[in-house]
Amino acid sequence: MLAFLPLFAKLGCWFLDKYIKDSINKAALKQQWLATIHRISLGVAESVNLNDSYSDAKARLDARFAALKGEK
Amino acid sequence: MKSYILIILFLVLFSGCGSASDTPPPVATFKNAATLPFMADGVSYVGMAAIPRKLKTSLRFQLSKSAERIVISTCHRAVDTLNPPNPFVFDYYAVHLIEDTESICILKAQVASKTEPMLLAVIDFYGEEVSMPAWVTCNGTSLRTGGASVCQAPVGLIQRITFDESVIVEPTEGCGKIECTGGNCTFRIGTGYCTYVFRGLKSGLYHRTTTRGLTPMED
Repeated sequence: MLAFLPLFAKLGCWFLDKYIKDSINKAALKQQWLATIHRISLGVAESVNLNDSYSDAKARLDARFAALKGEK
Repeated sequence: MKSYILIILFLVLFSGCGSASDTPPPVATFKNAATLPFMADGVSYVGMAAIPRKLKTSLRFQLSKSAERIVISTCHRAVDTLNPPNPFVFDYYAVHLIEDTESICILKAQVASKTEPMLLAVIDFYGEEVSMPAWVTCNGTSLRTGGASVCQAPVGLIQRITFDESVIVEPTEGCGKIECTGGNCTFRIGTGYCTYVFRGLKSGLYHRTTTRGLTPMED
């Protein structure tokens, strides 16, 4: 019986890997994938926001430039 | 019998059950994506670039084997490709009156896989509307640029941009503080994306620099 101890231990490890660790990994990967998809949609939205915000910044810059030139 | 069961349980639980196939630690050290290397008309870039706008720019992305999806988006469109070929080639034609206007229209390429962190490339295609050159010192590298520039560094770090003449500057939302003395400007990298627009007081020319702040992983 003692001679089979390492084999039983290996079987135990295989069981842990197959049914417990795998399910934990799969759940973590699913969460990571969903987070990635969410970040992609956020990234698309950011491009649009930057575009609007840039136009505002440029308008402010032009107003300041005109004021500075007008003062001279 | 009980003692045998206890010995087996001891071996299983405390031997670590280690194997060579354990998942390696993630490569990215920042929360908001690792950088994606790419080529634009044969020139290599990593992660972020400002490129003069042309009628057609051929973009070539080197993907990993596990890449399952690439999304290319601009201010106008989002092109989603599942199971992309490697390398992935995208010929970019700026859409007239939308993507080639005087405003900014950043192109982003985001690569997703179920097993690796998201990879990201960001390109600012700029036209003649911005034409004032600058020296940009960003994250340890100094570079002479054309009318637009980019800078990617961890949030809060101080960067510098220098012009040949005195300038005034306006930031977009979310930018860090910027201070200019004559033509020398220093700024702190803000969170996410930000663009500073500069205008030369003598020439009246414009320059824009777009920054992306990287948020480090918590220890």
